[in-house]
Amino acid sequence: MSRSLILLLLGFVLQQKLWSQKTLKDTAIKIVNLEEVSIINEKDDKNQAFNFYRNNKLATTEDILSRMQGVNLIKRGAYGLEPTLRNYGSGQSNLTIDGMRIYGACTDKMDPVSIYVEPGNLNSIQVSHGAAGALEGSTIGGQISLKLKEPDFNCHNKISGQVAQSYMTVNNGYNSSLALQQSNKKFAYRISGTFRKADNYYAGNQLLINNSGFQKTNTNVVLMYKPRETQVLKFDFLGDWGKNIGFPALLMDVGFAKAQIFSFTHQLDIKNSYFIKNELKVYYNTITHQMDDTHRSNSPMHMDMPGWSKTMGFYNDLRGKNNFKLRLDYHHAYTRADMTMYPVNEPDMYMQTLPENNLNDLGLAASRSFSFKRKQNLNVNARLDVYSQSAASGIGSQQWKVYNTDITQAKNDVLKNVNLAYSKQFKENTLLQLSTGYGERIPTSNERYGYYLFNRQDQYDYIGNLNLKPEQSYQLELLFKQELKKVSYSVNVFYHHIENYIYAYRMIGYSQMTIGALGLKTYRNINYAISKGFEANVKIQLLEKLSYIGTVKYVNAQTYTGIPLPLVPPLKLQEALRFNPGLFLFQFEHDYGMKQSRVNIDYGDRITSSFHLYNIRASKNFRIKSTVLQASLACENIFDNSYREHLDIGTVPRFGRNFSINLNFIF
Amino acid sequence: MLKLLLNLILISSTLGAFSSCKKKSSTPEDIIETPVTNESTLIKIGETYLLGAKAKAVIYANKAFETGYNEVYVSLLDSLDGSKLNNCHFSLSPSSNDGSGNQNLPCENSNDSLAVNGYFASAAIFTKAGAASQCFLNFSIHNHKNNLYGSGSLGVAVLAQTPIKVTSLSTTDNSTFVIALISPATPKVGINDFEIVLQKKSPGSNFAAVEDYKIEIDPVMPSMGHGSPNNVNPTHRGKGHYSGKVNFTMTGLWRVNLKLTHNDSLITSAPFIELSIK
Repeated sequence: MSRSLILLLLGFVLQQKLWSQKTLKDTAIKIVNLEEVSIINEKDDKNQAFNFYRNNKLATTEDILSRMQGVNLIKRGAYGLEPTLRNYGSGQSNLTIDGMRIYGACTDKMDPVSIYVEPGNLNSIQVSHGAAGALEGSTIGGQISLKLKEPDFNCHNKISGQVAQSYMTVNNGYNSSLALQQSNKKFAYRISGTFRKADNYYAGNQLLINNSGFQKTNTNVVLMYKPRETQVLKFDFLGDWGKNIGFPALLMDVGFAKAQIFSFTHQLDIKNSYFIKNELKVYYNTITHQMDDTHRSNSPMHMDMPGWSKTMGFYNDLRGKNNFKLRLDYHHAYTRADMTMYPVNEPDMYMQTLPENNLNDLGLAASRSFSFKRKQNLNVNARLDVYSQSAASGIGSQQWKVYNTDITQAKNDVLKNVNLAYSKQFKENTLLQLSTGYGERIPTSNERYGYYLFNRQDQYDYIGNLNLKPEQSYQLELLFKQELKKVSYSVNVFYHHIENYIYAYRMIGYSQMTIGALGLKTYRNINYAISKGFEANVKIQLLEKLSYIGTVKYVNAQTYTGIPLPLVPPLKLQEALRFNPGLFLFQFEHDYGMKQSRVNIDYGDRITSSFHLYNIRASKNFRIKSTVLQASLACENIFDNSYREHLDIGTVPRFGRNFSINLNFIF
Repeated sequence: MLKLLLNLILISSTLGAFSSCKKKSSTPEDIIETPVTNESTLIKIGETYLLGAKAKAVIYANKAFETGYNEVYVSLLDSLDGSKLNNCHFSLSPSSNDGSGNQNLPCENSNDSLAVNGYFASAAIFTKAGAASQCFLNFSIHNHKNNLYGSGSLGVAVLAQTPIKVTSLSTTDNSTFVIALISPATPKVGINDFEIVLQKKSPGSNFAAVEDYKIEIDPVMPSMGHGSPNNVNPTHRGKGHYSGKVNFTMTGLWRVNLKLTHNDSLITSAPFIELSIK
């Protein structure tokens, strides 16, 4: 049955070839011309995979992210995958939307910030590793910057937009979206809405994964006003409302998740000066998250776990020539998470699992490039942050008194980050770059204030440690890239030495809180940890209409005593072969994850088997007058393999064979 | 005839209580806290004449009597002119009779003959709930004004207090232990002062404070099976009162398990008291 469906799909693809349709330059899956990628511009190179995959309308933001250099995803359910940079999780790396800081409201990290950006609203993703990514916030792991689409100013004053509808068989998932935009010379707006609904999915071998469905609505409204040629005012609202989101790997699901993200931006182009542009943004966002177990039959007692996060802040970016950038920013974040259990005939059991706490961060960052003769370049960036973290007095601080700890006292940390990247270009097509960096990151609110937070992975409750010191990372990276006539490739090797690495350890003689948990753990700074590895990227133009892209990523991370760090992905290969005969386009993908046997047993890491995954996609554009209909078909996990990736929490396998169709009407 | 017998039992128990309370004269005075001076916070439980001493006792408490440790404030009045009697030797003792015979219950009395702020402060520990026909407060007085001795009794209703604030158990040598919680009265999440009183009744004698036991506490949430860290075991502070610290990490029903040892030998680890944290 399934084999015949594949043949059917292939038949469809081949049939399209016979219809001699005129092709469009704006194809659904667009090939990036090698010329478009400037070899000396590192940012563009990192976007190579993004550019390759972005126009596949079937892909979610996470799908695109997963194919980017050094990005891996921690999976807890069909929805809400948490991006990590190499082995650096959300506390060690930063993820921003349009430069805004947003904190998840879920102590179980069910709500990574990336879920708020629908692929239809995504303009670009920029990934920077290590201290090189510290311009917008202190970090040791780097930064993922998501940029939202905004309307262009033009004079025709006509409504344009797109309607997209997709369906996938693996979870009976629908995805409908609409985007409209209109502008004249002074005003512009863009409004988009997306609705997604999915049932429980089938893993390989037709295994139904319960509690894996979800539903969500997302909207993005951008209003822009351009009073004069050099000035733009922009108001941006991003709203995301999730409902009944299943997390099969966890003990609970998400009843609802609401995110409202507001910003106001003032952009000024500066003429006839060293400075080019100034951007000031003021923002506010509020996230509410409610975990519940009402859909679980095996929970010992009904439990609610709501969480809240509110962040407000601003930044001012001044850009100048020579890649000069000066940034001043501030943000205040409030987070809190509660747990209430409802035993029969007994009073409610209530606890603040994340006592309400406040974080203040004032940061100053600068970067500049220096060019030297013989095509040498030095890029310097530095950032200084003054952090103050404290918990509010209340039941959360009362709870902590039993550990003789006053969490209301402010913890102040001054964080320093600096990165030097020296590059030399040989001939026109070869570049060598040596970067050395130093980065720091503060302990997260979970790590400082968390109170009996259950970790599904090792089955331990975790409490914070107020006296944790920031992690400090010394980093060395070497990048080599070459662009030949038909082949371009890059290899990046890195070595990070992280002092005061925050590591969990067991508290002997202390009892857990969660029913069924094995005990209690907390964090402490260990001497150091080491993270090293490489990423390689190759793109080959095999024939005029046949191209290949492949990436390999590998991380090896361990403590100073040689214990592997938890949640470190094994070597992963992702490759795609793209055939673009003109009338249609198809793409064959292969992912390979190596076996990971370097695991952290204490953390509950499991040895993960290797896997192969094969996907095929086809796409075609139909032009109807001035409108375009993009149609895409895909079959993912063609052989219906049952597999899991190493960063998947629990033992829940991923999607089995999935057929999907996407229709995108652009007008 | 039955009534006569009952009175006899009452009187004997009252005298017994009086004598037992007298024995405690060596214990510190500061155990029973200074009575509340603001009468408006006290509620009147009842009153009774103390026959033979030309006196009347008016009984007050912070709240209606419940199972567990109850502070009792008694105002003594001259039954002839109604004036306050502030200089008396006064004691009370609780008892109960659920039909199977009269049982003496633990109590605490001050041996100070002067009323503080007009009240004689005592404490009564009820181990079971009951109606006014089943639970009694028995009084003894030596009226220093007229040098007369007298006694009286008042039936009092005792409400069942949940969760369990008092526990009573018998050991193999037919002794009875009563453990009652004094504080926290309104437990909260975090650190709480923890105070219990321990009294023992050996066969043929009355309840008396136990002062040389080692008590270990282990708070747990019965419906979740977890405990709390860094509790401080209560140590003896005088008059059978043991105080320490008990910690609660969350709201809900907590059970504090108690382990009693004496001279390194385990007496019991069965008793517990329960607290409801809201």
